[in-house]
Amino acid sequence: MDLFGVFQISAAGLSVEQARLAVAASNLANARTTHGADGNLYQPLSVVVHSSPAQRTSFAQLEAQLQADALPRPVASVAVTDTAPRLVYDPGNPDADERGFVAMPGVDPLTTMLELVRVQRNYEANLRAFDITRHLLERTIQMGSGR
Amino acid sequence: MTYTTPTLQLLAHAAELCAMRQSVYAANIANAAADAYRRLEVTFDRQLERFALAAGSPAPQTASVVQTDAAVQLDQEMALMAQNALRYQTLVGAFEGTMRMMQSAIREGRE
Repeated sequence: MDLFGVFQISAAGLSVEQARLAVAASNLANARTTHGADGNLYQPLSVVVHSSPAQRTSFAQLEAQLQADALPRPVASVAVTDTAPRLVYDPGNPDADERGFVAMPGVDPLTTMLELVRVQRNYEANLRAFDITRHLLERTIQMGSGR
Repeated sequence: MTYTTPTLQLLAHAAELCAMRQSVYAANIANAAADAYRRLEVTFDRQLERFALAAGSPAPQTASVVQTDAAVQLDQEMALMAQNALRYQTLVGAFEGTMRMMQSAIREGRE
């Protein structure tokens, strides 16, 4: 069993959480973007996380894999959601329609903030796992020395 | 790897399985954000028990990783990982102790 491979798993977890953080930040920052460079309304983004290699059905025996390489790693992909826009009454806005309503991106600040809390917790857990693995390796390397 | 004494062999095997557990818990934590992910677990205790009873017999070749039907709970994974890390360090300590004992025997008890 090679503990060095574990770093790659934790690193994959960290980069997935970073992607979620970036997407949440982008959604919050663009919560009032009525049109982007292409002239269209900003569509909120979402992160889809899946494991690679994909898991099999429950209780499947994973062929006694003793290599860290064989363990599933998370992969993040960004998808554009089709959330309905919020209509805000603002007749002075150049993007307002004839009735004075402006279409704002359907970003829900509450859900996005909750997502950020979850991202932080997951990120910290991955970092802690990384740290514990490093500590165990150091302990192994120093075995029998200085005593 | 083959060690000279059954004790060292047993300790090395147990440490290897602890390392396996560490990587499985790390994978569980890393995949916590994937909705469809179900937590993995290493099952080897019974094998190790049998091995301990008949110390000196060859080490069991495999431990198995099984998939449970439970979603990942971060707190639980962290607790298990901390526990497993302590176990690993205890094993390393026992390994060192055994080595010291052998060195002492080689030196015929002299400092």
